[in-house]
Amino acid sequence: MMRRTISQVGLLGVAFAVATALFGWWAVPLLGCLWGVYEEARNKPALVAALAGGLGWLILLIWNAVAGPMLLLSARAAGVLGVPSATLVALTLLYPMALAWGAGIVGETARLVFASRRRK
Amino acid sequence: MTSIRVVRLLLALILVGGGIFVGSSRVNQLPPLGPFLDPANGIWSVARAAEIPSNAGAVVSSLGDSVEVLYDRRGVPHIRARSVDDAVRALGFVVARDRLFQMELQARAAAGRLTEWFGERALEADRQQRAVGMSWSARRDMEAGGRNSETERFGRLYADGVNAWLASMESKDIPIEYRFLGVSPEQWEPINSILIFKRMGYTLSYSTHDRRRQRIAARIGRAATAALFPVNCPIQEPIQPNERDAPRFDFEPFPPPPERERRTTNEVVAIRHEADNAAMPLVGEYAGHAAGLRSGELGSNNWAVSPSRSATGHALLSGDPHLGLTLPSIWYEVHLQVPGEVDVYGVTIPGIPAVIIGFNRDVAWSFTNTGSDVLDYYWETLDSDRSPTRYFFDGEWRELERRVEPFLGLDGETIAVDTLYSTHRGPVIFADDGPMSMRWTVLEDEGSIGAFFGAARSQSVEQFERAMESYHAPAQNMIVADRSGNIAIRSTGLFPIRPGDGDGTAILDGSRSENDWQGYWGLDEYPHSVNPSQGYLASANQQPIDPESEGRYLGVDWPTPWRALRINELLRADSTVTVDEMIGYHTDPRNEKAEVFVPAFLEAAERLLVETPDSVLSEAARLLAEWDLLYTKDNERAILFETALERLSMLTWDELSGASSGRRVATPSQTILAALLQYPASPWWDNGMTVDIVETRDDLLTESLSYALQEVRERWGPPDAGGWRWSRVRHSNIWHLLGFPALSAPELPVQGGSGNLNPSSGSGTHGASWRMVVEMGGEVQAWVTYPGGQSGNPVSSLYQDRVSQWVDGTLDRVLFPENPQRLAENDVLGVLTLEPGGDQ
Repeated sequence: MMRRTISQVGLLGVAFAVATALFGWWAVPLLGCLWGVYEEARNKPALVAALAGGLGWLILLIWNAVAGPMLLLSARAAGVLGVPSATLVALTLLYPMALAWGAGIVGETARLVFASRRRK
Repeated sequence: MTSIRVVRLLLALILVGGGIFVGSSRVNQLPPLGPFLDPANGIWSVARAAEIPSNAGAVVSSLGDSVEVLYDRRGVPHIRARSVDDAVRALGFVVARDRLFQMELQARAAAGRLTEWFGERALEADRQQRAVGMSWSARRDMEAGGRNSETERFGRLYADGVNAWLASMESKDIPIEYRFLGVSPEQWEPINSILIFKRMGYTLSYSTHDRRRQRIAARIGRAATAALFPVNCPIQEPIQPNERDAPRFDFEPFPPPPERERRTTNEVVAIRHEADNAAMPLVGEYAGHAAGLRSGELGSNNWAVSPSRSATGHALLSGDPHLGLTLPSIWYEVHLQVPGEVDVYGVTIPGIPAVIIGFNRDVAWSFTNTGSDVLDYYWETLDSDRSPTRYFFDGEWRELERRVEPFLGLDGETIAVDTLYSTHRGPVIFADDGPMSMRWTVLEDEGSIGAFFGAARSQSVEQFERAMESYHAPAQNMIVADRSGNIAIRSTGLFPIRPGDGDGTAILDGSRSENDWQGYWGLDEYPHSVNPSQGYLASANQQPIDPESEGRYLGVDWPTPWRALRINELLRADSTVTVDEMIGYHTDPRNEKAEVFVPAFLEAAERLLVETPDSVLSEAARLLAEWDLLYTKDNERAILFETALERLSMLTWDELSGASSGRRVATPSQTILAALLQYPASPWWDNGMTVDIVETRDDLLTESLSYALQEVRERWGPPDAGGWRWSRVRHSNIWHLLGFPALSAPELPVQGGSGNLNPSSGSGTHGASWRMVVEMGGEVQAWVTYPGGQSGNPVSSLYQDRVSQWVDGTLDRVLFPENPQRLAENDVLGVLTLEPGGDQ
């Protein structure tokens, strides 16, 4: 079970990263919602989506760090906003997690509602 | 559904809804968080665009042929094209690649469209720009030029290049500032180049001195105004040498100040209190003036040395324009090469399709601001105060030109609408004391940008000057040297011919055509000097012509000549000038004003101390006497002098202060204060803040010196304890264009103060914006720097890589290859190939 969840988070994380790169930040709630609809509730799709959302953006952050001076950027951008740079990095990871989790719950709920109506 | 599920769903809906809301909408001043935080396309992606790629290519559809651009290790693009048109397109592309945000910001500022980015906060600034007619005249220039004028043509070619960059750039290339503002780059229009050039004209020649003079005259009378704010500078070291002894001090007695009402002790105490409180705002006023109103404390330097006075026997030229210091810098360094046509190196202003200051294989040139009076105001009689349609002129009513100017907000909504009017002279301004029209050469300039390409192609001093004949505004002292050893300087631009005695200091009656300008000076009348016998030429914004040689009115309220005196002194003393010396002159620590005022302070103290022992004054005089008159970074006496001089000025010019407050309407130049030193009992020395005492010169000098010691002690600690070090008290501050401290380089120690060749005064936000020394030998060699870096990306290694060099006063030797393709491999940072194609 644990292995399955980890691999789901990993794969979905890559999907979040690719989708964000291709379609922008809107991909996060959309993908989160789709995952909630697709995966059964007992597999905690919202939690997986949240972790994958954070992982996806972490992958992209690492890509930026490899390709350029991310730490300097973090310090300067955070300086402009008047927050510590760690806060900006944390916000960048928490934001997709929150979006993906919320969207995952919505998707999960939609799946349950749809399934119960079909049963009726 | 269980209640837990419901709560969970509600929480999820709030998170998703809130997340999407803050993700797609501006909250307060924060940009929409979604696109901002998106690590693939948002702010984090800027890291991936920090450095110049080693190899890149792009399509510029309108190119006639491919263009190769090699970036050298200093980030300077060497553009090699097969036609001038392609070179200009490539210039637009490469400048936009590095400085897109700066270009758009400046164009918007000039057009009065900042509200679209900043909302109501920018409304006043935008209103000012629209009211003085910047975009109105730029549109008029475009329409008048059509497709035939060089300015319009170059603007269009440049726009092709900028827009090609916009079309080809990836999300990571969008400058960081757009992300903070939550806005997107706009398509670049050819008119933007004209707007930015006019913005330069605004910075360098917009003036309200006619109106200020009115207020001064109302306070102290016309005769005193003429004496304290004279048309001619009382210390003459003119740009144009005239075989007379220079410098010359034309000090004349001053008419007495107007009679003042005697004040009671209580009134004096109240005013003194307010004056003391106003002391810091006065420093602020000083800084405000430094930003443009009183150009006397700022300006630029340029000088050239004939082969007969240079160590190598080649002509030498130095350019040292002083402007607002920003990150990114106002300048962008570039080499443009079109074999057989143009091979020019220098600096361009992002947004303007030309190399403004620089050199080619034969000629080098630089500019200082002439500061001539090129803007006049006229009282107008309108048919209505509230919604006028006509103005009275030569006995009849004429139609006003009317334009409606809407100001848009952040979301495109209209936040204000102004109706603006113009007469045949120019825009109408509604001042407190009535409507005025203004006539200003900057609004009448149509062809100055085109002149720079003529300059770039010139092969001699003569050809350069011919090319610049079509340059109109803002008027510049254009210094030039060529490889044949010729040097020349000419104040070039439109200089109005005014009616009567030609004086432009008054606001005239606009209802009479006889008060209109009658044309412009002829080219042969411009202040001009070629190969003078003294073997050098220099300008530092001082009065161009000695009024004893040519008495014609050119301007008023000339900047203090301290820099002019110093550079002339240096050049006069050295008959074998070297490149290293030229570089050193840029940050020369000596200041001529100290030579004038320090002896005055010391002699006054000596006279007073003979009669009355005063331990504070004695200590202050001892410390000041120890000063070597230098503004080096480790100097520990300059602050004492500066504080004393500031105090002396404040105490002396109390007549210009308001009747009920310590605020001055204006402050006469330090040259006037120097002239007043010759008259120890002049009534101008009497301080209206004292009751029943009539002060003399020595009273104010000694009081100022004593005050300075106490003030400096209080603020900076005891002398010789490190607190008085010049590097602690005086800084340059290079702010980011949006004022973000995290992207700025503040509190840089500087060698120099107000009036030095490397000037630093007020808020420290102005100074040497570009330093260049060129040796016009068999092979042209040049050394340069500017306070910033080539890249506009704040995380690029080229963003502010030159700042420390600028602080130290050293220069880089430039790479000026005959063929950029032959640059050594380790000199090349990256290659960009621009190809024609795509949709034509």
